Amino acid sequence: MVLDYVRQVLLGTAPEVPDFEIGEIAKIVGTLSNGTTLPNVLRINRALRRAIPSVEFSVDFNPHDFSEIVEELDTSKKPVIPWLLRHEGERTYEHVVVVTGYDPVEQLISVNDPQAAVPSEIEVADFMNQWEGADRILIKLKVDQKIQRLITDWVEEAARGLEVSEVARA
Amino acid sequence: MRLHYGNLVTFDDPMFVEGKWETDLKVDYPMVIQDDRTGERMIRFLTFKGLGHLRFTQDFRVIERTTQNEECADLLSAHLARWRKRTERIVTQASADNLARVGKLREILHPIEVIVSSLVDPGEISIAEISEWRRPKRSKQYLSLLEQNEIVQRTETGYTYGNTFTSIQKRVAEENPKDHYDAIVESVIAHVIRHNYPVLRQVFQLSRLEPLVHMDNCYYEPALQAEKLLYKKEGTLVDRYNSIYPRVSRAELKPALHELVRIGTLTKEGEYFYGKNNLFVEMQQMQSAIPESASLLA
Repeated sequence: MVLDYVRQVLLGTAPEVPDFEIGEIAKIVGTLSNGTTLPNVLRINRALRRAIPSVEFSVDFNPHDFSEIVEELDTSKKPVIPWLLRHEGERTYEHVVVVTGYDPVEQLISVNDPQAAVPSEIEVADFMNQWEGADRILIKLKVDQKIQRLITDWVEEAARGLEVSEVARA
Repeated sequence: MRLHYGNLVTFDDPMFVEGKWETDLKVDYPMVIQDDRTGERMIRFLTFKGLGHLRFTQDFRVIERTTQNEECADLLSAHLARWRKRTERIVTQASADNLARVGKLREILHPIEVIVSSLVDPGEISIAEISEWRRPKRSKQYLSLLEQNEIVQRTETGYTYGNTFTSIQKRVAEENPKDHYDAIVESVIAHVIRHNYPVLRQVFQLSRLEPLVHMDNCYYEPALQAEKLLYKKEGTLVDRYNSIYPRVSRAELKPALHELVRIGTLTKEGEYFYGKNNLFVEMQQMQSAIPESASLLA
């Protein structure tokens, strides 16, 4: 879902960003019947290493702040992937969703939840408790932060008279 | 192992799998805890697993090392930060009734008091009325938060009291039959702190409680590790605060300690600070109920 968003919305059209099927993504990040681990998520970056523009998922184990979610959504217009701790009766389990929006007046978080068929909303109070329960871990999306281009584009730009260093900076 | 990872990272017993040895990296992180009055010193360990794994050949040559030493150090500090946040959450929840008595908090959370006052009398809030309040947008945000806590519930024309508010009102009336308005406001604030401190702190940017929560944690975190209340000097608590949180001068931290004594999360015996047993027992119960999330499976 996030890669579709990057391809279709954030970049308009991005043929050089791989279009993985969900099963492929599951295989890349080592998803088993009990889910996958946070370090495994980093494996997707290797599969995306040739994406143009560059697309990476930033994963770290440190607790993040809610303001980072708001900033990613408002300023960068990018979804974020928080780790949540959910309760089902007596049982608890960790789960991830994609956060796509925040309504500060109604205090609602818009999410794409793999457990739900359609996009839904979570109350901020619930969301924060679930996020706190999973130690406020957050996966962020980094787009176009590394210089990547096709050799054909590079040659074309070089032919237009741009210095190599300018091409690299462009 | 020692040459690459130093003496803190250890590993589980290796397993022989498909012709190779495999082992997971872990850390038993030592913490020295001292009681300042008796001088008793204790060592407790925090075990952090999931730092990576190693694979060896049969003659113990490393063929796969998922985590380098520097990454282990980063993972360890992240584990510590997450563990500290978890303890902080327990301490805050157990101390919520006391934290609700913090000076100036009612002033800062004035929209909550305005809402509670309308719930007490006349028992409802109309949409038109909200637009006349001093900060209508902020008040609507608080109304949404209180609705999510079942303090208020929506009606066709605005809001009325929710189930949690009714329970709070009933309990307060039983405990304090006369003039219980202040106690209701305080109990509602305590309820929100207990269940939604992260929302107050991070979404509503409430910073008034932070130094108190941090200082409270500086006392109770080692006590929880030691499994008993400890006598701590002011200097020890201030040093601990400055070793784990952004640095604050001793002069600025002293009022926080005295505020904690005033609201009753700590007591003062001579030059020593000492915890409250009822709060400590509640924290211990919460600690045992919190699931470990070290595997990070999702």
